[in-house]
Amino acid sequence: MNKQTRPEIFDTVGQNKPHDNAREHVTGTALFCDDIPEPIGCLHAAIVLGPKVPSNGIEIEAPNFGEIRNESKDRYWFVCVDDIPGENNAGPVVHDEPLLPNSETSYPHQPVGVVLAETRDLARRFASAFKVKGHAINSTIASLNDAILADQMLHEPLVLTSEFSKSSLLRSPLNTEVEMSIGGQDHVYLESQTSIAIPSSDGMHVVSSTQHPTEVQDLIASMLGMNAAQITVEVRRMGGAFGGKESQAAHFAMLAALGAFVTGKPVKLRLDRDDDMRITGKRHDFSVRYNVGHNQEGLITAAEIDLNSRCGWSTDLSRSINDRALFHAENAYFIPAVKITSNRYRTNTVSNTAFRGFGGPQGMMGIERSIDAIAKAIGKDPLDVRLINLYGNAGKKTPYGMTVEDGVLPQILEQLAETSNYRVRRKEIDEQNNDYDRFGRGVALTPVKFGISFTASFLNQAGALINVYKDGSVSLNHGGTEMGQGLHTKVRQVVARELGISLDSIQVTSTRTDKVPNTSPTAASSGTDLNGMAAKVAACKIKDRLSAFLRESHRSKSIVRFIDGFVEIDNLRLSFADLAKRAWFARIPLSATGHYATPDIGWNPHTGKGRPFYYFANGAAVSEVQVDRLTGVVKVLQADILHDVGQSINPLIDLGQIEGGYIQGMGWLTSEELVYSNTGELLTHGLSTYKIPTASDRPIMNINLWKGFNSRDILYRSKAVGEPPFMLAISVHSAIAHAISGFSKDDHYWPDLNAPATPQEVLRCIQCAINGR
Amino acid sequence: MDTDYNSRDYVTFYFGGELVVLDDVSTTDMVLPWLRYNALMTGTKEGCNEGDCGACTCIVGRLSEAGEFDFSLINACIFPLVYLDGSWLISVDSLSHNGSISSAQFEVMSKNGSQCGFCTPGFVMAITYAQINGGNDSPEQVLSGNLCRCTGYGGLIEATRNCKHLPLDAAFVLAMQRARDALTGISQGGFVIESDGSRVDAPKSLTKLLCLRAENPSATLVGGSTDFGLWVTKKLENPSHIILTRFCHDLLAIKQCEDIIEIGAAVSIEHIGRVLVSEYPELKEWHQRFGGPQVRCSGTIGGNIANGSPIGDSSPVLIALGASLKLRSVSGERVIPIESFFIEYGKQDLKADEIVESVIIPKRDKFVRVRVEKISKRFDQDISIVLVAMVELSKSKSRYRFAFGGMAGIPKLAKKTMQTLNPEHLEVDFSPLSDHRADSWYRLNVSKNLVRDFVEGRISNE
Repeated sequence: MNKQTRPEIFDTVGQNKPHDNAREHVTGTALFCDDIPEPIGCLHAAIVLGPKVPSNGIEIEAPNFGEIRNESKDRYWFVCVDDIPGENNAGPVVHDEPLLPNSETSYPHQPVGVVLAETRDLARRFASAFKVKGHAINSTIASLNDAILADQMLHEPLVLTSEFSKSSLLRSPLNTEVEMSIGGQDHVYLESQTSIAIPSSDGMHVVSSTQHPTEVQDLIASMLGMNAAQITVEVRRMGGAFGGKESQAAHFAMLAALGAFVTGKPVKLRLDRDDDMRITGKRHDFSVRYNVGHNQEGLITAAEIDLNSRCGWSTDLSRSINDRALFHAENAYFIPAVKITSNRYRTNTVSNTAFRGFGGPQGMMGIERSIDAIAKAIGKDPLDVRLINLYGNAGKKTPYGMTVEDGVLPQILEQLAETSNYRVRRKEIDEQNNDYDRFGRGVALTPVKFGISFTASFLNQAGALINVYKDGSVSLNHGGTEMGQGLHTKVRQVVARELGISLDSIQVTSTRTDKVPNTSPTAASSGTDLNGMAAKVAACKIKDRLSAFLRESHRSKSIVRFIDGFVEIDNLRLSFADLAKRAWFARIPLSATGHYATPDIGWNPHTGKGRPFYYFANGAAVSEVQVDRLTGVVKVLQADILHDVGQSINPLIDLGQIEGGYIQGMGWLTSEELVYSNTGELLTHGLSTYKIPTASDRPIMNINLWKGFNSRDILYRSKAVGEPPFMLAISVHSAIAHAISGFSKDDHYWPDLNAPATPQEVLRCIQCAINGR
Repeated sequence: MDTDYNSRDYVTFYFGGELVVLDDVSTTDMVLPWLRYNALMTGTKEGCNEGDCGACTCIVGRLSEAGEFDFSLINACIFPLVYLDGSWLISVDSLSHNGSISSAQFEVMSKNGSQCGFCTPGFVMAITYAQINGGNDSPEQVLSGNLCRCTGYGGLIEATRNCKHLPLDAAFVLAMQRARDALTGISQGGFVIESDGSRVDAPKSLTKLLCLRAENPSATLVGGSTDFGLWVTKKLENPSHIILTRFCHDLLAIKQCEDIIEIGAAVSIEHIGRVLVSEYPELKEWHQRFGGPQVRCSGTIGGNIANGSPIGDSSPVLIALGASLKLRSVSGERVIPIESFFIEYGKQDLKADEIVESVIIPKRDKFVRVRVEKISKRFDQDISIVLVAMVELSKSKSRYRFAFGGMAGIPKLAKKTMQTLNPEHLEVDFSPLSDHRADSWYRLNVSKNLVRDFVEGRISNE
């Protein structure tokens, strides 16, 4: 290959490029689903919620309209299960989830129907006036603990063993046991679930704030007894999603589509925040138990691990989520003999679902807590225990039998410890903490090793469509959805590089199922890898056709170069637009699709063995916290992060993902507490009671990208970045525990701190530390 | 007096370069749905519909008698449309003109302050407000009423830091001149609007307000609507008659005398900070953590008290300071110690024809030490788990006063503990609830720790 002599100014791969729509964001002109001008005759839907305890013999009583002002001049429609012409199912994988219940509700406030009216306000008022009665089912189980006691499983546990026998733990010189509960998390995407369904002569057009347009399409088609080709699902952007709109956007798109089907009019459904929080699934809450065998140096020799999760009333994505938890139960550490049991419990609560990290965070918490406890027990700095147990680059295998490549964590940890001054800070804190000062401090360094690929291997594929127009402008479409992560920005950079054209000449268009079919959800951090590769393939097809055309018309066999909006062969140089027009005259097709499927992956779902991941993304964080001895209130003071995104396509976007992921993880482990009643009713169902971090919760942050590259040949050797940084926040939890241990007179005391570390949970542990319990 | 009262059956405000006149406004109409669905200006977003996320943040400018704008930050989702009367409503849509954007917009954009972009317009408005008002608030305080779930706030904080000290944009100054011209001579309040069984009164004088109160015992008195708004947006209540307090001049006064400060009931929490914090520097953090700027600008001191909530942030502080309430009706006034106002949960010492007129607060020199601790799951913009106000008096038989919010059905003094100074006696004074904020054990223990710490003097005047 000829080395290009001029710098390519249009090639922005590797450069800081702001989000494509930053200008529209700040001016409020970026249209979200609810901002799109409403079609003529649009009706608004509001959900009629079922009883606040699961009930059978459901009866729905229409309201007494005397209570509602203006009722005489307004009509309304009520749509319920009887109106569904096709399959009554919203379950994405297992069809165990009726969209609307027949006569029995399975969780508190389960929707039983929707009211349609001419304004949203009226629809809400009508809906709230419906009376839904039933007989409370006494045998329901709400909490994870109760489900464990009753052994009420969603499906069979997955047990993964590697070199483990009954004597593995007995042979270990020392054993450390840890038990902890790990809370769930609400997504708090700022844009609540929203959809518009518009009947059209092609069938039904649905605009939905979904991460998974194809699934919405499929579910609506089977619900309406139509075929997939008749349903078009479109999404331009979402106001945050984080996994909450992967499977569970479908329900609301389906309800809008059902309303549109029944009335023949466009129907919009936008959930009120409190309804959204009450009826959509969350991150799974877990309880975990680790029994870790190790030697005096802290080297782990064996472990027996139990992971229990609350899945809620239906399967949803719980299988894959728990599979991923299991695949991350050892995080970054080699355990020679291990048995991991993943139990998935069914409860009469909302169906828990995908959330950034997808079970990975819950899987990692227990091993990090165990390492801290081991370090305390043997009197070492936990960083040293972490370092001796890391996989490294020696070709060690994970419990599921995959060899760890890109084993850069030892270097990342050493470098971060150095740049963050971790050892000096830890020592200072250990010397300064005492039981007199009101505030104690803690500091911790924890690593992340996160597997990249959907564990449902067939999902690791993507498609793209590139249209070149006669003026040289390019329309780019792919199967990924934009939820703020900058996916469209990155894929546009990819196409600009491949075609040697400017970003401005490329228009990214809405994700639509009629442009790119059979897509996978934008999830598992895979959006850029998969769709970027598919777009690259499509761009290369166009490039090949144009090159062939140019060589032929120029009667040359030389290399054709696409540089800075121009195309060059030998001494000929013409603009990309000029070439496009010439190619059109020569009847060369200027539209191409691309498809990409991740190679080399697959695993056995019965044994848990194989290669579920294409590669690992790595990172580490040092967090320092301050803990108030009197109140248990925590303040995170500083975070130092070193994270591996391979060769970054766009460092600005990647740094934004790392910072945002860390803060979201910090919220999960500190202030965000889902509190349920005994019957499983969510009590913290609004932003006044469920507290995500604000600006003042942000610590001082020093974030750096690891200077490395992906050993796998994917998208210019970059790595996925969406989820992995979330788990950097585990260092916050570890630092809080460190601070609490400082209030104890016992050098070997390590607190039984659960997550989230709310002021109450922290104060409980402080009092245990002070009282020597 | 209300010379123009009842002569007007519409509201007028200035928005998007023109005067808007609305005569069909009901008790339940809030600014946000009007903006999005009537004016079709969709830049302002709805995130939570209860004033907690700030996605709907707008700015409201009200002309003072001197002809200067006094700006407030509002959560449009719970701000009644009728309260815009005589004001200038600024939404994000008003900040950019013909392709040029404001400096706040430019800073947020260039500091990578947006990811999904849904919360961004609200942040832009909060930053614009800080730019207009100047002041010494940190960027984090400026942004404390806005939630972002994507970014982690770094770019937004940086943008705020850069913007705070910038001069006003030329386009804004021009818009302000036009708004001033348009609004000069236009009354603020003094109307009654009836439509479809809904009635809104906006009296300008205390006399008129008291008459309305006496004549309409079932009408709801609305202060800043930071609670009332939720009755409408969340409980979907449909009040038939509301009476607004914030157009009533007499309730907006702040009087400083030799040994007291008297604050009118309709004064916003934001404004009371200016007098109270300069008198009591110890209350600075308490004031900064009293909701976000949007809530402080709208919420009133009278509303926070008269609402009777056991977790309002003002009452425990006022009780500890020994403040009094002035209650007034058409038949006269009475002044009571504020702690006696709270009888039991949901029941206050307020007759059907009475209103809270003002709160009377002693000056700082009566006290040796004043300390307020707000305990909540999150530092900013959160409702207290427990709020404890502790004072040590210079001359008094009982030297200490400890008042608590969140420990009982009402904000309340810890009388036994005040006598014995034994923190364990808080268990005699209180048997707090367990709820979604914290359990009874936590509330008691955190209270004991703080009282013990205060009595032992481990941390003084902080």
